[in-house]
Amino acid sequence: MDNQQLITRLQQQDRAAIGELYDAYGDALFGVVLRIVHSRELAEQVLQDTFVKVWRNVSSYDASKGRLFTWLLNIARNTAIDVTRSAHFQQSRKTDSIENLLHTPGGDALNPDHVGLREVVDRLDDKYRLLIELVYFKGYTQEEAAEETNIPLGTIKTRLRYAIAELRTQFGAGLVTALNLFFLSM
Amino acid sequence: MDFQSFIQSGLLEAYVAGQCTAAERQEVARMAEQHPEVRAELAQIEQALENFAVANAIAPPPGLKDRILDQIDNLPQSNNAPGSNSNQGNSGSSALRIFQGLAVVLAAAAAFFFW
Repeated sequence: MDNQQLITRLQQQDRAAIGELYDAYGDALFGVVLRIVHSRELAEQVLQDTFVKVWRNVSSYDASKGRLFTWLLNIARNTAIDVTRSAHFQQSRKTDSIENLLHTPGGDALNPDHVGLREVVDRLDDKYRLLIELVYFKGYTQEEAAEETNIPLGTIKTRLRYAIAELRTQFGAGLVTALNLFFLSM
Repeated sequence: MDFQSFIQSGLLEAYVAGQCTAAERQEVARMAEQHPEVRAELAQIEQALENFAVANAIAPPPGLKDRILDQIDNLPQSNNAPGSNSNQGNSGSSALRIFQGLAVVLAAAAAFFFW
């Protein structure tokens, strides 16, 4: 997907472009949001709010500051976290326990192309996957993650760096394998 | 700091997580501007996280896309014109939200009565 073209079309208020953005990233963002608010109904509302915010604020997206998905992720995550801070939400749900965080719903592997990605994530050791979930997808600072997991901050930093490096290697290896298979089949 | 040490420092990972101080963000931006290696490293960290999120994707319900497009269609025009105040649509969209909420409640009540 050519993100640059998509962004340009969004900035020109091309309605089809927001639909394509939803097709490309809606389910990934829904997964993030659902794991924060733990309610499908709330997650739907948050996802809707997210895409409307994206539509209304795309002119403030700055490609030099980061990739499009990171920007989308920040909006979705922050909107979801805001919901969890509302008094109503706090009353109606118990707070995350580590068990809840570890046993989050699995992905749908909706797209056959993404099954390989799913396998990489599943192969990642629990302790690394949990850290990535906490820090990147649930908005925990590294300090908060250290508190939550009772692991020293220094270890958290090292593990996080290792987890990302491991993901990159494994995703990259998957891509190399896929490319090899493609060229062999030609 | 040379860019290799900078890359090893963990600051880039924190930057992508949105957890830097303003001063740290400026430093990352400056190093990224000066060093393509830093830019490449940032892009790879972000790509890994995007892959992670895609791997953990969960399908939203089928009707949600249309609801989003409908809400966008009903926003006041020229929300995104350069320099326009992006808060213009607020009262309109919250009125619409209340209306949509009422419609859902009425539909649910009707369903309760008729089934």
